[in-house]
Amino acid sequence: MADLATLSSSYPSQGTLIATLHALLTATPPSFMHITDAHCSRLTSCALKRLLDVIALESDHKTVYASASISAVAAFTPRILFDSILNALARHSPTWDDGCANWSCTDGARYNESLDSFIWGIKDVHDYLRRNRNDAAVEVRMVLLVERAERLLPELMVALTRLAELTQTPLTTIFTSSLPWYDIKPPLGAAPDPYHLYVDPPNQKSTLQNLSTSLTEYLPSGSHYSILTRISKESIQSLQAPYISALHSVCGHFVSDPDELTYLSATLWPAFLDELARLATEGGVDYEEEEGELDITDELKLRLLKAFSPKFREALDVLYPRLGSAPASSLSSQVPSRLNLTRTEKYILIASYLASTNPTKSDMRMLYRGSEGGRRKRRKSSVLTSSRKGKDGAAIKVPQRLLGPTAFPLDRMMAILGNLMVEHEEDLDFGNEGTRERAAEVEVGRAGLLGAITTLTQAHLLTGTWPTYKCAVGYEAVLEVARDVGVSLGERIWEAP
Amino acid sequence: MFPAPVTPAKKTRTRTVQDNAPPITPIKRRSPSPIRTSPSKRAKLSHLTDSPSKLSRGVLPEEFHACLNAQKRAILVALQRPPLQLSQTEETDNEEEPAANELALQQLDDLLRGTVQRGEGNSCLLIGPRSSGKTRIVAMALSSQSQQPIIIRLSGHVQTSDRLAMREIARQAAAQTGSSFLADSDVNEPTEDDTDVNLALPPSSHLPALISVLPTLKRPVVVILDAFDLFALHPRQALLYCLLDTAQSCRVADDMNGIAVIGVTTRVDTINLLEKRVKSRFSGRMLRTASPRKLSDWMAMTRAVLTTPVADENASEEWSEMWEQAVDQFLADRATASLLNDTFALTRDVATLGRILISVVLALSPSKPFPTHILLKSATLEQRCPPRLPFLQSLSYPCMCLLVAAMHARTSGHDSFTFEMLHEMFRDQVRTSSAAPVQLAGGSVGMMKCSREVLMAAFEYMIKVRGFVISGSNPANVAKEFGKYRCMAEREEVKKAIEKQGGTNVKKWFSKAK
Amino acid sequence: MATVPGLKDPNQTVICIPYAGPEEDQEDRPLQVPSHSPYTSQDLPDGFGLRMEVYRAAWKECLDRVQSIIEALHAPKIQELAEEVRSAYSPSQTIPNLPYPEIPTFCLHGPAAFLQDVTREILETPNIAGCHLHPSDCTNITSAMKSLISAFVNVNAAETNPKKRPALSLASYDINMLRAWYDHLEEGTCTQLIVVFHQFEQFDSAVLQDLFYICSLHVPELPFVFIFSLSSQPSPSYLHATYPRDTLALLRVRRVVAPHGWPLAKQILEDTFFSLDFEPEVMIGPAVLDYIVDYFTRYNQSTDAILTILQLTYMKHYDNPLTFFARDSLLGTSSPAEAEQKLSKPTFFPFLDALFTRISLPSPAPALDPLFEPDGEPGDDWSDVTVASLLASMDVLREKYKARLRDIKVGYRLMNLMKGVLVKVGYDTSAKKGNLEVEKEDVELMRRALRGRCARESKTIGAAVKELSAAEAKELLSSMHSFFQDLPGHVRRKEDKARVKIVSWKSQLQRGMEEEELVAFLEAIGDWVTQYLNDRLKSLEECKLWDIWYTGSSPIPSEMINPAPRATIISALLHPYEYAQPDTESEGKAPHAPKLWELPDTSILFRRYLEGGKMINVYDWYESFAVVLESQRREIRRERRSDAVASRNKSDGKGKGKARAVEDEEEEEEGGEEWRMQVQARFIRALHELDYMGFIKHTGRKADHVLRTVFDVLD
Repeated sequence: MADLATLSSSYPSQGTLIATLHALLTATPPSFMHITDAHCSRLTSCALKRLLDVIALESDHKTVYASASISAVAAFTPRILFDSILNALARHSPTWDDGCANWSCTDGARYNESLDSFIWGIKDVHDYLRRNRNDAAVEVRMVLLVERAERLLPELMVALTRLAELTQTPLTTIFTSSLPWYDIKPPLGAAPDPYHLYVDPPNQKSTLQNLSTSLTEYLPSGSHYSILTRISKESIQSLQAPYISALHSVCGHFVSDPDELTYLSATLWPAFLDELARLATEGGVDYEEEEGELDITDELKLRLLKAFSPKFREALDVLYPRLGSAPASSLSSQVPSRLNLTRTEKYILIASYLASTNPTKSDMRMLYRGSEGGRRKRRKSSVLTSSRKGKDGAAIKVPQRLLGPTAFPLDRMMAILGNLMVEHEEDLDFGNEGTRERAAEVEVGRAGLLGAITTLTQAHLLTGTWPTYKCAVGYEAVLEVARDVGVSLGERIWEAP
Repeated sequence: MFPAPVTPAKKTRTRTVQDNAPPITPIKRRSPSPIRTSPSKRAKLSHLTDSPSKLSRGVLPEEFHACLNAQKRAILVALQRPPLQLSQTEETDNEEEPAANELALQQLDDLLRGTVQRGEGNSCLLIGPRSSGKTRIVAMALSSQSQQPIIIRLSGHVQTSDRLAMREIARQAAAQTGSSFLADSDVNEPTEDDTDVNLALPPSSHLPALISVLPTLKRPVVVILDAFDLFALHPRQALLYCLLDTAQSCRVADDMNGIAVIGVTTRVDTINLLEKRVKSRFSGRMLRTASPRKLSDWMAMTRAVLTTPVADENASEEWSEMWEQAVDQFLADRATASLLNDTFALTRDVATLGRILISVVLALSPSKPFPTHILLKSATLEQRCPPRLPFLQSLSYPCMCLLVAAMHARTSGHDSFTFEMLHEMFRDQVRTSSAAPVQLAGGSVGMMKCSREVLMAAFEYMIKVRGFVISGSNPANVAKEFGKYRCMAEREEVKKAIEKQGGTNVKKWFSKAK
Repeated sequence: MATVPGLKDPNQTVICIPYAGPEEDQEDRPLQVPSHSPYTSQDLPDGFGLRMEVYRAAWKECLDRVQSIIEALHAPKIQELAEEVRSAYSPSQTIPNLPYPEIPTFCLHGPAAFLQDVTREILETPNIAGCHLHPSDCTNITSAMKSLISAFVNVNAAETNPKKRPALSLASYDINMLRAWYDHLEEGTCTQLIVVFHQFEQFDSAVLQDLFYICSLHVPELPFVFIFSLSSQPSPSYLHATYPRDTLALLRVRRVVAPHGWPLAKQILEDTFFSLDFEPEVMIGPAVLDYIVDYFTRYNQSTDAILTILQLTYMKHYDNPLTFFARDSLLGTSSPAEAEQKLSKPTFFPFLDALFTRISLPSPAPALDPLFEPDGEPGDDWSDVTVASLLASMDVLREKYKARLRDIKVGYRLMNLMKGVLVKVGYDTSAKKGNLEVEKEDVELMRRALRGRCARESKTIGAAVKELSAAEAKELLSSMHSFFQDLPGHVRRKEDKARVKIVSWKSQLQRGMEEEELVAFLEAIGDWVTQYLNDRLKSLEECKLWDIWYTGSSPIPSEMINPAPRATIISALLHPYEYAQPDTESEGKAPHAPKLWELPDTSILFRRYLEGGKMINVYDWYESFAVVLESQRREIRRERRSDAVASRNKSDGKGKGKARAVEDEEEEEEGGEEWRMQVQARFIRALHELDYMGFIKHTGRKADHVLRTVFDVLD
C-alpha cells in the first residue's frame, strides 16, 4: 500500500478516485466504469496509468492483473485499437527485427481484422496469461483503460462497453472523458450504464501541492549569474513556497488546470532566480565581497517577491495562450504585433474589411464624400446588454463586426477601394473632379493591385476565391493599418464600436 | 461476469453454489423482513450503539477492520450477481402468480431439456428490460442441463453481418467439436494493404449448408442470439431464416441431435420485425423476464445483498451479528426507505440499485463502518442522476464571465452567440465596473481584466466540456471567434455556480441579466 | 484557351498563355505598326541580334550579383536556425520542471526558396532523419500518419525487412511501428525526427490536431521536431487563429521570419550599383531608382519585383543601337581590326554618321573633362577621322565613364560612412526632410549622388566635422582610413592622395594639439572633406555618350510591368485608332473623332453593347450592328466614287471590317444573300471577340439573351 500512498500524494486531486478504483479493481469490479474529469485530464490519465502499474505489481499466486490503456484519438482505426490493446494485455512490444509482429498465441492467428476476431484475441490473451502461471487456480483480471472515450469510433463503442460479457472473461472497461457518460453514450441504450466515477475539481491545496512537487530542479542550468551558485540550495528551496503561493494567488483565478500553472511556474522560475541574483548584486554590496555561502534575508525575499509579482500576470497573458513559449528569455510575446504590407495591400485590406462588415446599401452613404461635406449619421452600434432590449421584445440587431465577415464580390470592394484611394492617396494624381473616377478605375484595375489581392489571399488576410472574398482580419488590426494610411476607419464603418 | 460454463472444471450442478446469490427456493431462504424483526432489533441496536465497549462514537475497533474489509469484498462480489427475483417473499399470498423470472427459467429449462435430451428443434425469444437477468437465466438454464450442449453465442452488436455471423458460428463450433467447418474461413492470407477491408469471409451462398450441418453434430446445439433485434435488421434476415428453419424442420431422429435457437432482446416488439417467412418458421414461444415489481422485493434484494455472509476464514460471529444489526437499522431508517423508494419509482433497473450499493459499500471505512442514509443519499445522487454539467463545480474566472455574458446574450434575445459578442460584453462590463466611483481601500473595485487570448482559451474549454455547443450549422471555414454557439447551462445552474464561486463583481453583473 | 494551366488557380500571380501560332483563317492583313523606337533609321543591320547578346551577358552578370547578395543576406539566419533545430532537445533549449515535454516547433514565415535553403541546411546533418508532408498527403488522419511514418521507415530499402507479414504485424499507419523502427536503430544514429509541413495553411487543421496529439504521446521517446512553412505573416498569427490552445500547448513554437522589406531592397540596390568591387555594365538612373522604390513600397515587397524591373530596364536600355559599345568596341567580332572593316561596310553608314554626329557634338560640360583634352576632340575636323579612331575614342570614352562612376561610388560610400560615424557620435546630418520615409531618404541620397547634387550633404558633413572633439575626430579619421585601406586595388591607387592625407592627419592627432590648433586642424579637414566629396560626386550625364552605359532619367516603361488591362481594353475598344495608328501620323492631321461607321466591327459592336441593358437580346444587338454596317457600306461607296485612291490607302489604316467591305464591293451588287451572310459572319466574329475578352456571360436563364459584365464605363 506504500506505493498507493505516494501515488495519491503526488496526484492530490485524484486521491479519492485512486483509492476507490484500487478498492474496486482488487475486489470484483463492475465490468464497465466511466470516469468523468472536466478539469485536468492529463494528470488523471497519468495517475490511472500509474495506478494500473501499482495494481499489476500486486498480482500474486492467486490473481494476475493485466492492463491496457489507450487513447481513443490515437486509435483512429479499429485495427490500431485491437493491436495495441492485445499487445498491451499480453505485455508484448513488437520489435522491428521480427517485422513488428503482433502478439498471437498460435503463429498466424490474426485478431485485428474485425471485431469478433478481436474478441477471440481477448479470450486467447486470457488463456495465455493463465497458462503463463502454470497453475489452473490462478485468476486473471484484465483492465482496459480508454482515454478521451468521447472520440471512440462509434462502431466500436458498444462492443467495448460489453467486452466482458462478449468475451466471457473477467475484464473491466474503464472510459475516461471530459464529458459525462450521457453526452457520449451510444443511442438506443445499446450500451449498459457504467459505474460512474468523478475526479474532484482541483482545489487550492491540491494545486499548491502539485506545484511544489513539480518544482524539483532548483538551479537552472543556463543561468548567467555566478552569484546564484553561492546561494545555498536550502535557502533557494526556502523561496519556493512563497514563489508558488504568489504565482497561484495571481494566476489561480484565471487558470484552474494544475498542469498549466505548473508550466507557468517552471517557465518563470529561472527568471525569478535571475531577479534574485540581480537584487542580490545591485542591492547589497555586502553580498559581493563576503565569500562562500550567502543566505537570503527576509528583507531581500520581500523585495524579490514585490519586484517580481507583476511578472506573473504578464507571463499569464503571454504564456497561457502560448503567444510566446518557453524558454521565453523575454516574457514579452515573440509575435511582432504589426502587419507589414505595401500601401496597396493596406488599402485593399481596409476596403475589404468595409465590404465585409458594412451592409451593401450603406456603401453610398459611407464612402462618397458627401457633397454637403461631412458624412451622414451612422447607425450607432448597440453593445448588447440585457438592459437595452429592443422595443416590443425583439432582439437587438448585433453589429456585423461581432458576427463575423460576410463575403463580398470583388467589384464592390474595388469600388470602395477606388473611393478610398481617390480620397487618401496623394502620391497618385487622379486629376480633377471630372477625370478622377476614370483615373481611379484605372488605378484599381492595375495588375500590381490585382497581384496584391492574390498576395493577401496567400497570406490568409483575405479568404475565398475569385470573385468573392471575405476579410479575415479583425477590427483592431485593420484599425492599425488604417492609421498608417490616414484613413479614419471609425467614420467608414456602419456600426463602429 | 460468471465463469465460462464451457469449461467442465467449472461446471457444477447446484445453482445455489454455482452463483453465490442467496439460494433460490423459498424454503432455504433466510432473510427476515424488516417489519417483523425491527422493533426488537432497534432496541438491541440502540443499546449497542451507546455502549462504548463495542463501538465508541461509531469508530470501528481495530480487531474488526479485517472483518469489515472481508464484508465489503463479499458484498462487492455478490453485487456482480444481484439475486434474481425468482421467489416471492414469505408473506406473499398464494393467489399471486409466480414471479416472471421464475417462470421464464422454468420454461427455458424445459425447452432446453427438450433439445438436449430428446433432440428436438426449438426456438424461443427471451424478452425483458435491461438487467432483468435474461443472460443469467439462459446461463442457469444451460448449466442445469444433464449434458453439455454445443453453445454458440452471437451478438447483434458484434456480428453485424450474416457473413460475420457465419464465420463466427463455424469458429465456435470448430472450437467445441474439434472438427473445422468452412475450411476457407480460418485462413487469412497476409495482404499488403492495411485498409482492413479484406476479411477472409465465407461467401453467403454457404449459409444454408453451414446451418444445416449444425443439428448433425455429435452433441445438441444451442444458438444464443444476443441483441436478437439487430439480427432482424440484416438484409433478407437470411441467417434468422436458416436458423429458425433448421430448428423447425429438425425432426427427432437418431442421427439428429437437436438444435435450440434462443433470441435474447430488450425490444418488446421484436416479433414484428421478423419477415413473414421468417416468422412462420419461428415457434412463437416468448419468455419474459421482469425487474422487481414490488418495493418489498426491492428492499429484500437490498437486504439480501448487504447481508451476504462472509465466506472465508476471518468471519467472526460477533462481527456478523453487529453487521446484521447495522444493516437492519439502516434499512429500518425512514430516510433510507424513501431514498430506495425514489429510485424504485424512477427505475426498476436492478443494475442501478447495484451501482448505488457499490458506492455505499465502498464508502464504508473503520471511521464509518456501517451504511447510513447519508451515504446512500450521496451514492444515489452520484449513480442514479449524475451531474449533467460536471465542469460547473469549479469554474475559472474567465469561464464564469463567459457564462454570465452568455446569460446576458440570452436575455437580450440572442440564444446563440459568437465569441466576439461575449468578449465585447465582458470588456464593456470591465470598463463600466472599473469606472464606477466606488472605492475600496483606495483601489477601485472593478472587475478583473482578462486578455482576449486568455478569454478565448476559456471559451475553447467551455466548448471542450460541452458547456457551449455549436448552434445550427457553422460553415467549415468560419474563424473560431465567429462560430455560433449555444449555452447548455440553464440560468438556474449558472446562478448556483456563481453563488458558490463568483466574486461580488461577477454576481452583480449576473444579477443584471434579467 | 480553356486548357491554360493555372488559369483558375487563385494562388497564381502570373499565368503564361502560350502563343498558339496564327489562327488558320487569318485572312485579313495585319496593320503594319511601325516600331516606336526612334533609332530604327540608324541601327545596324544585325544590330538587334548583337545587342540582344550584349544584353544577355550584361543581365546575367547583374542577376547573378543580386542573387548572390540575397543568399549572403539569408545565410546567417539560416545558420542560426539550423543550430537551434539541432540543439532542440538539449537542456539549453528546454527548461526543467515542465509538466510534460513539448514538441520543438519552428514556424518559418517567408518565401518557399528560404524554406528550401533551411531544410537543405538542416537535413544534410548526418544523424538527423527528415520527412516532408504536403497538404495532399494529409486528407485524413490515416493517410497523414501513413505518409509520416513511411517517410521515416522506408528511408532505405534495406530497412524494410522481409520477415514482415503485413496482416499479422502493426499497421503501417500505427505510430508504434515508427517506435519499433526508432528503437532498433543503434544509439545516436538518429537524434531527431524532423517533419517539414509545406504550405502549412493548406492543411486540414482537424487532421493536424490529432496528428500533433498522437505524436506528443510519444515525445521524447520519439524526438520529433516540426517545421511549419507559412506564407502568412507572423501577425495576425495563422497558427493561433486556427488551432485551439490545447493543441498549441503541445508545441514549443519558435518563429523565424525571412529577411524582407526595405532593408533587403536597399542592400540589393547598394551592393549591386554602388559597390566598388562590382561594376555592372548598365548603371540605373534616378528615374529607375524612384520607380523601384515606388513599386516596392506600393505594390509588391518581393525581391522578384525588383529583379523584374531591373531586367526590363536593361532590355529597354539595349534598345539604343549605340549600346553594343557598352562592353567593348568589337561589334561582336573577335578583334578591333574585324570590327573596323565590319563597320566600314556601306550598310553601316547611317549608323556611322549617327555615331559620329553624337561624338562630335560638344560634350555637355567640356570644362569638366580634363581627361578628354589630350586625344583632341574627334570631329573638330572630321576629315581625318577614321573608323579605327572612332572605335578607339569609344574605348577612351568608356574608360572615362567608368572612372567617373567609380568616383561617384567612392564618394557615395565615403559619405555614407561619415554620416554613420557622425550619427553615432550624435550629429544629425540628415537634412531636414523628416516626414519622408526611410526608404525614400536612402534612395534620395543615391539619386543625388548620381545627379551630382550632393553639395548640401557634403557641406553639412564638412560643417559637422568642424565641430568634432578630438576623440571623435580620431574615430572618424580612423574609420575613414580603414575605408581607404580596404578599397579594391584599382580604385585605391587613384585615391592614394586622399589616403596619405588622412594618415598624416591621424598621426598629427596622435601627437595631440592645443585647443585653437585643433580648431584650425578640423577646419582644414572639414573643408577638405567637402571639397573631396564635391568633386567625387558629379553627374554621370556630364560624360560624353553617357546614354550607352547609364539609363539616366529615361523613365521605366511602367505600363509593361503594371498595366491596367481592363481599362486599357475598354478604351482600346472605344478609341481603336489611338492605339492602332502610329503617333506620327495622328499628330499630322487634326485629331478628329472617327464616326461610328469608321470603326472596326468589334468596336462598333462594343459601342452597341454599352447602349444595351443589363441583359442583351442578341438579335436586337445584331440588328443595331447591321444598321451601322449598312451606313458604312454606303459611305464607302460614296467615298470611292469621289476618290478611290484616298479611300484605298485610308482603308489601310482602318480596321479589317472596312477593308473587307471594300474588296467585296467588287463582285457583289445591291445587297442580297451575299451581303446579309457577310454581315452575319462579321457579327458573329465580333461577338466572339468580345466574348473572348470576357465582356459576355452566357446564362441559360433567358432565351437568346446574354449578360453584360461591364457597366457604366466612364469615357
